[in-house]
Amino acid sequence: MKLSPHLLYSYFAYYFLWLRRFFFSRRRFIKFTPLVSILSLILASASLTLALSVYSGYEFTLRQAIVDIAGDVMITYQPAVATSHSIDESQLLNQISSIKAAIVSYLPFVSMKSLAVYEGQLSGVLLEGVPMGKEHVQVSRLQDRLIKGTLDLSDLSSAVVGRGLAKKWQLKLGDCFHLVVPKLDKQDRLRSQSRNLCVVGILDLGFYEFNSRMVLVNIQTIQKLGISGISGVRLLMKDPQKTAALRIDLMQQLGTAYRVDDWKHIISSVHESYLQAIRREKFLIFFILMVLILAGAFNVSSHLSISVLNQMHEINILKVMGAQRGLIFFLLLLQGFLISLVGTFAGIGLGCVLAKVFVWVQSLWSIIPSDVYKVNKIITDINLWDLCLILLCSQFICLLACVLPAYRALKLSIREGLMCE
Amino acid sequence: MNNIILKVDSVSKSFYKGGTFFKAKDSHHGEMHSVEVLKNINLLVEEGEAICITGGSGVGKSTFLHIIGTLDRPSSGRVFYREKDLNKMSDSEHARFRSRKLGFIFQFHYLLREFTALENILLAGQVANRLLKDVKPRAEYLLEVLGLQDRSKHFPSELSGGEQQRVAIARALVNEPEVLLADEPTGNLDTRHSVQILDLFFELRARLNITLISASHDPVFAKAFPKVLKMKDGSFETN
Repeated sequence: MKLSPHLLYSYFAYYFLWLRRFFFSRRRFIKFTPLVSILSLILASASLTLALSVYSGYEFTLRQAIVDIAGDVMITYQPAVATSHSIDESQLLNQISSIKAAIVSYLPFVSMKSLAVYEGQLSGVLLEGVPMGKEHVQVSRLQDRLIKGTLDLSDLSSAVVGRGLAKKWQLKLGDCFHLVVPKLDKQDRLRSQSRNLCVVGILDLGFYEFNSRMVLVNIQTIQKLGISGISGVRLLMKDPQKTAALRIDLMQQLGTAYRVDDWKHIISSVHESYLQAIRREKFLIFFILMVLILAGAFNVSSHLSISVLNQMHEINILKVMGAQRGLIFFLLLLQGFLISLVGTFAGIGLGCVLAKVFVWVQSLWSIIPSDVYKVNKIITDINLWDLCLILLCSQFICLLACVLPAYRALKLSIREGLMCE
Repeated sequence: MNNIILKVDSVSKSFYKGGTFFKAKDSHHGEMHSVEVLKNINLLVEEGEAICITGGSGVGKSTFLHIIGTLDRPSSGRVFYREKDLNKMSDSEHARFRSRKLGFIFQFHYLLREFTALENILLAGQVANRLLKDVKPRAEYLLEVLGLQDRSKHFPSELSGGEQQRVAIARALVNEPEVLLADEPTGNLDTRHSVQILDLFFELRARLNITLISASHDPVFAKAFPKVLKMKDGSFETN
């Protein structure tokens, strides 16, 4: 038979009749037995979607925290290898002028380890000095991470601290602490400079190490402590996905005096093993939660088996009328397929909603221990590939589960069916 | 002589105790324990003929209809449809043959409960792989002929016994079969509805020129047929 609009319409209309028969009864809006199978699949795929979105989100959160602080590309001066101990900002900018077109903005910074003292407590901190201005906020995207106070560091005795440090010392806005910066004099003797700093803002940097150690000050505050020059620059790129090639270009241009890191390299070099473990865990969780889908598929299979028994007289009369085995097999598989499709789609939808709820719950209560998981909050990431994988696996398992009941329906003898009726 | 549409040649059918696949042995005598339902039956059916097979309960009327309707295979003998040996056809060919050439009516209507009268008829069209645009006018025409045009959107449970059986007749006829096989079509109906169905059969037979083979134990129903074959102990008395 040639494929024609009439043929397509006929198929559509015929199968629409069957679909109505499968799912809807005249007495009830939706039949109970498919509903139970659908519900079990909804729960299974919702939990799978939620789990995978949390795992994907974990990697995303970690990456976002690093990118927000370090920028897309970070060029750091390495005095141990360099011939000179000072770094000239304008010379560095000249050297990277070849990639100017790819840069949105840049941020010179000073980074150094120092010591903070508050009410007799000592803590090693990561002191970060940045110039004030729009670019500062733009490159390090810190405005969104400010949870209290301001990022305005124009007063040279002001500082913004990480959430972890503030929590550890119970620092509030306006509280002051003492900063001690080590420095070598010309005879390589250790000297120290100190300054009193008052908290004007608290940042949630999303990453445990930063949150518990970061102290952000105006670059001039550091210069007042006798530290000249800059440690490097952070770049915000037009296309963050193309930073790997740029990194290699910059390394060749700048030579060994500078270390060039793009965000991908930072993640892979510093956190790769951790992320590998997370990915492996995600893979395992996927298979563990697939057991729920399997249980759902058993439900679909048992529903279909009951359905075959209930529809024995329909199946029989179809056979009497001359229905081909393929049509009966297809109708039963279609029934199972649609149950699993509806269940999985609804489950994925519910999982996406739960993923959003999970983020909201984290804003109310701290449920992720940041010292264990490195981050204090996971932004769930609903990955399209994950959803496709859930859908495909669920459909495949459910279809397999439907084959046996459908095959049993084919084996029913017409004559015996008629005699039994 | 008119065209022979159906030829039944020495057909026998036995059923074995405990199923037909594993032939059970009688534990005392060591012999196959089988029941021969049809014994060496021969029959020629002409195109457009109306035959009624009568006989008591369990004589093999339904089994005979099942065999000529390709719902079952004979233990021995052959059935020809327009000189084509039905025994040589596969199950799938049988199904195709049934959907295009035969119409079945049973004692019970066997309508699908969740479908309306019209939809029940249309699904027979799907089974025969026919386009909806061809089947729908034919289904509506049949419903009109059978006096059910106002009941087309009613579900089987909303129809009377006679109406249900008339829908089953419409379903059997929607694919324009050449042979209509009816197994106790009035067995479940009262006298008034039985007479209605009988009148309908002959009206449709005249209008659509179909061959009608019916099985019934009702002598009043059988009397209306020009040819009556009485079956006893698995064979026709007139043979």
